[in-house]
Amino acid sequence: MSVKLFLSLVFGLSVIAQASAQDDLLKQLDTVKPKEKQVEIAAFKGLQICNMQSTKMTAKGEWYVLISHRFGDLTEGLDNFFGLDDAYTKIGAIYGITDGLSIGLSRQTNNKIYELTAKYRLKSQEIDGFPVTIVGYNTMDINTALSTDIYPGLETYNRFAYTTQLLISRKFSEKFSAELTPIYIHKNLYDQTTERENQFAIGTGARYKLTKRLSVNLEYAARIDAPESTVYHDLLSLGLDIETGGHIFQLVFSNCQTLNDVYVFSNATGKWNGGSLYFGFNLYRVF
Amino acid sequence: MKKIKIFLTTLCVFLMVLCGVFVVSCESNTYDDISKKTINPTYKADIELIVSHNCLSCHYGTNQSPNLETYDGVKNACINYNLVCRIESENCGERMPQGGKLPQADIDLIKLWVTNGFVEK
Repeated sequence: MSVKLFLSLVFGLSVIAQASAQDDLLKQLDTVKPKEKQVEIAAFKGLQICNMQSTKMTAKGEWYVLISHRFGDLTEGLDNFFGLDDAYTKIGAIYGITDGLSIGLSRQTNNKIYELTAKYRLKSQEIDGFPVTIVGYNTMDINTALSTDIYPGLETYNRFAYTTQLLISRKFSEKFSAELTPIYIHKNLYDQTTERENQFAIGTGARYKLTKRLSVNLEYAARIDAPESTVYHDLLSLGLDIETGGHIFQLVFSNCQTLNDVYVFSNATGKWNGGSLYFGFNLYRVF
Repeated sequence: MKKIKIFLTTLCVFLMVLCGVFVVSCESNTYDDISKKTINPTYKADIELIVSHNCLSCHYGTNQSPNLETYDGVKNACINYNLVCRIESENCGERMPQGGKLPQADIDLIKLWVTNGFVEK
């Protein structure tokens, strides 16, 4: 009898103990859950807005292959078949080392420029939390077209040019996102009549989602204190994103034909009111 | 786990910046600094190289008029196709070459060559 009583007591106690332990665990879950803020995802669909970078990152271990094309001057008309005769191409790859860090390498036709890039997320926008996503972006250009035959004093470092960018974006609603980007450009070789060794610029970009697979993009970047005799113009581009399976296809109308960031922000040759305009596309394929 | 990731990312970025500082230099020159200085430029010694580097990706064969592959072609372009005006300004149509203005040092050399009467050799 006493053995039975003892056993039932032990059983009863252990049940109570377990139940209270469960309560503790549940309580822990309850206290932890509201602390973790959910990250707001997909402010932008593509890695680029048009020419500018967006705050979107590659995922860890993902390969992106990128093919960009900018045709020649649209406004020349049939003479060059609306620019199809004189196209620039950029081919490259981007690899996600972690979810918050990716590196890339690309090469473009104009000046045979190789571009090394690094993109790293510093902070993500949170739902009811931190208001913006902040991403750092660095590029380094290597101009392999320069020749010592023309420029006898050319040193290796003259081939390099850099940009440092801080991409700050906010997804305002499901449809609308915007970005603000302070940019610093440094050139190791420049023409003092039209360019600066160190140039600052402020970029702005926005996306508006039309349908699930379609969005329209706009970007503008103004140089701060550009040289008075400059022949270049501030970047203004209009684009359309089309998402199809593993592809992101971006149609772009821009006043810049070149495809490396240094030239995009400081050497745009076209002009929207009465100058050259260029049509092209960015194609991304994820592996 | 998350902390380790953040640490690794920070470390990677830091190392890359550090490598960058050592590998690359930020010393700058102008095109004037590194250009050839001559008072008597010739087609063979100076102009041919500038033209072949900047113009021939389009202006070869019958691809794009005017053809700039020869001495006669370049001279003809200067006389009949406003070559100097096209590289110097936007007054005669889209500035050439496409992609950006030639460095002023190169333009000055071509202008000097034109003024001196198209010396071939």
